[in-house]
Amino acid sequence: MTTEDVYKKLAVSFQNVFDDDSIVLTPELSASDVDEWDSLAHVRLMLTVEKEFGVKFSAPEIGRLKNVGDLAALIQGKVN
Amino acid sequence: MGTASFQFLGFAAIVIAVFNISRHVRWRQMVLLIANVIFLYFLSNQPMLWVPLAGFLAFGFVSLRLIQNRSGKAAYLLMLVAGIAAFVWLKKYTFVPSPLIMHWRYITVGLSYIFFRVLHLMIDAENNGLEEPVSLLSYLNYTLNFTTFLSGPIQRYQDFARYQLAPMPLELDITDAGKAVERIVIGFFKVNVISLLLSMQQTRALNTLHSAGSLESRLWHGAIIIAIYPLYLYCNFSGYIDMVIGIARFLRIELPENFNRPFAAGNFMAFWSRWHITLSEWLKNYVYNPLLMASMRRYPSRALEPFLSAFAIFVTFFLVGVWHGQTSEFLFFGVLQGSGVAAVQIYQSMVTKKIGKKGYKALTSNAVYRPVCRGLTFAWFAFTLLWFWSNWTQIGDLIHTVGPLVLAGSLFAIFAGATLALEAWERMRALVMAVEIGGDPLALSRYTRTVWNTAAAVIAIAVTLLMNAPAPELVYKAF
Repeated sequence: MTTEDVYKKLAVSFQNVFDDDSIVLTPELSASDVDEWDSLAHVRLMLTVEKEFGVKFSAPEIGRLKNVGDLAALIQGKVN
Repeated sequence: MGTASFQFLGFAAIVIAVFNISRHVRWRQMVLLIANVIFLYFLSNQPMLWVPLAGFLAFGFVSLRLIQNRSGKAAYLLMLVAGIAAFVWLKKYTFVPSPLIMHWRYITVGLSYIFFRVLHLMIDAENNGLEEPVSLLSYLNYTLNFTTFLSGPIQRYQDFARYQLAPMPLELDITDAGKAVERIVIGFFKVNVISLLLSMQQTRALNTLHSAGSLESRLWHGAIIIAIYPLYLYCNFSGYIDMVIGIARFLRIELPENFNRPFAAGNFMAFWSRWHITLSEWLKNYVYNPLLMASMRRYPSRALEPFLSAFAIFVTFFLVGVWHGQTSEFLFFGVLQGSGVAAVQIYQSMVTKKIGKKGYKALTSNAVYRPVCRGLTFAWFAFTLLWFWSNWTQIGDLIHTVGPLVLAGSLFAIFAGATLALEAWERMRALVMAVEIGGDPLALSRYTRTVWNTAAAVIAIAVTLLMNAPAPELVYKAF
């Protein structure tokens, strides 16, 4: 799966979780940039992404994520 | 040595000087290890007292190695449970049956923070979070690092190793050194001047509590006793953290921040993301997230999510309280922390449901709502801290002496006072920051900071010498 494919699929997950079509995914985008991205939304996002990509995240993996770039890299590492 | 004292600073200065003689990794590791051992020796020079702690460390290292060698899921879970049980046993939690407890004297200083580090290593090792096997030297330096031994912050091993094991040490130019000195000076000032004065003020109020006759006097005493402690704790704890962040920078390690203006938080949930940040982060990563993910997988319903989150939050912050101490007071402290954060979570989702996300956002920036929430957050935290710094007898004595209704009045006075004072502080801060020079706030220019730091250093030294008393104890050293 290419980086582009990952971002395309991720964008759908973000729109579903935050109910906001205007979110533009960039590697630098982080929780501090999206108002609704609190700890509950973060877990909801992780579960949605898990389902979308058919992967599973561990607690340390989630804890290490700092931005969308990290998340995309983690997904790519798992699906490829 | 276990305080923010001149002795501690002198010791740190010698370690820094020796540490920076060579850039070689092995040299840096060995100097830090020797410094850690000397630091422990200064805390207690009786090796026997350290035996249980050493045993816990040995258990942690053996477990880590087994996990890294893929011992299997069942063995991992067993070692994790054994680690938690060993911690509870060594800390002599009240629910541990007396015959099981070791009744001889031993030292548990630093154990709580070591516990978090060891557990983090074990969990990350199981989940492929550690790229390299952890050597004994790195393990000991990570768990016993003298800068973080007494009060944290809880640094991730990966971040610690990135600095400690780098072939070339982290750059330290004149600006970095200046900023590190600044942190040390500010920290020393916070602990040895502000927290000392606040503590004296609270002690005076406690000592004169019984002679307070009039209603106003009792109201005042109640408010002072309860309101001063959070400020004292903040200066004591964050001051020491400032000092160790500065010292560690000279040892080419960047420690994580532990505080971010906590009293500016607009609610109790936001407060805990600004107070003891590394503890909150640890618990979020290893308790809240896994617990919430597991429960949301089991009960997949959007309507239930806020309640599941509130439950996970309650458990997480209850553990914060339990971690702080072994008595029923700390248990209750945990219940109050958990209830406070969970209530905010439920309130937020209910209000958002009613007025929408945009409406809620507008509400939180309302000029009246925001300061009121800030005041309420401070008052709640101050109230919960009653179970942190006193015991049931002292709380009963306070209620009896001041009177339940007057005490409720004191709490209301704290809420009203905090609302006004914190808003005034925020506005004043904004005004000061608005005065710029060359595009940057004048207050943050190096000239202003030099003046302020020099004044802080002179005042701190003068107060310390004039008082001629030992440096104030570190509150978090006890945990």
